[in-house]
Formats: sequence, C-alpha cells, structure tokens
Amino acid sequence: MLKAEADAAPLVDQTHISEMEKRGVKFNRTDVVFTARDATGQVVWLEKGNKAAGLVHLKTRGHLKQLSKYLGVSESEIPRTLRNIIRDGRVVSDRTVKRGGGVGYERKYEYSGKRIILAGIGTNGYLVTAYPDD
Amino acid sequence: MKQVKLMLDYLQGPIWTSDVETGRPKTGIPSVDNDEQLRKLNKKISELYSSYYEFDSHGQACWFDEKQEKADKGKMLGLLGKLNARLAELNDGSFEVKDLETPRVEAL
Repeated sequence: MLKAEADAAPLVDQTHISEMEKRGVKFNRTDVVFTARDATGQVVWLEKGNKAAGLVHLKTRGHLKQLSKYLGVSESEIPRTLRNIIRDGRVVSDRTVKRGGGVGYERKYEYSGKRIILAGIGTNGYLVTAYPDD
Repeated sequence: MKQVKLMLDYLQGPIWTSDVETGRPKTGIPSVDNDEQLRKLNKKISELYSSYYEFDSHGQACWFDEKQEKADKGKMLGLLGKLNARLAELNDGSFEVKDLETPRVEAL
C-alpha cells in the first residue's frame, strides 16, 4: 500500500476491533477514535475518553495543542497523525512501569526520522495519554 | 528564565517531564535533576496518582478512581507542598515553578 493510501486508511480497523473483542477487552465501540498495531505487535487504541484519559484528556491537559504545534498539523488532524505515528513509527523505547498494583507501558515512537512521541499505554492497549518528547 | 512545570499524567510527572521508572526529573536544570530528595518525592507522587488508573475494570477499558483521588486529597496536597518547598530551597533564581497540580487537587 502506498503511504498516501495508508495515511488515508479508515481510523478504525475492524480487524483490530474483532481482535480486541476476542481478547475480552472492555471498550465502547462507538467511542473508539482510532486503532493501530504498533511495532511491538500490540493493538493500541484511542477512545474519546474523559478528563483522565483518551482524546478528551489530550484536549483538557493541553497535549493536543502541544502535539499540534510539535507535529505541525491542526488539532483536528492529531488523531490521524498519532495513528500513523503509532502504526508506522519505530519504537525507540518500550518500558514496562509498575504503578500501584498494576503496570503500564511508556512507549516512545520515532516517525519520519525526527518526530518522537511519548505515550502512556495500559496493558490492554488503551492509549491514556500522548505528548511530545521535547 | 527556565521553567519547571508541575503536571500529573498517567506514569508521568509531576515534574514535567521525568524518568518514569526512577522519578528523576528531566528539566535540564542540574540542581533539580540531580537532587535525590526531589527524585524520591517526585516518584512517590507519580506512583500515588497513577495508582488511580485501572484497565478492564468497572466495565471500562480505562477507569480512573476519582473517589480515591478525592480521599487522598490531603495526602497529595501534603506531598505537593513538600515538592514545592524543596524546589524553592534549590532555586537560585534561575528558574520559576509553574504548578498546575496544586490548584487542580485543591479543587477536588
């Protein structure tokens, strides 16, 4: 697939949705903003979420604005751009972090040789947060 | 003037940004980044905040325990107070602190 086609591909990949359902992941299909399988093989997805996690969180915490400035795209283009970075980017670091009784992942993606994004991801692939590593 | 931003996020903060495993600040200000007392406090606060996140819990992919965060309000404010106090001790006038967390927690 050409890059332009890949970039324009639907944000939600139904094969990922089926995989998440088979795994018993609890999610609301109508709230999924995008899905992407990253270089680690994990399906990562962004939901609309709330002030603590997801797209609403990115907005309220100012990350959307930061990402927009850092990546040089409009805020409305951030979901697609993030999807492309997670799907096509190189995983520069992948750390499992213990917090409380659980664990999460801090993953760093490099894209187009220079764009580096840090993401806090739950064990189920839920994208809690994302921000530039600047 | 350099700025030290205090902001909490899943696995990250409050000193923005920090090493998520060790809690060591990554502000680029040597006196802040190399202070052991600050690192420990920073990690403790991050651990407390991130402990409110649960996955595949309460029927949701990601659930945030707002009730516990409110219950811990005094504890969190105490820790943020200590963090701010230590930053003030270390500050030789070369940086300013932008604390986004204390007002947010106070409003809980």
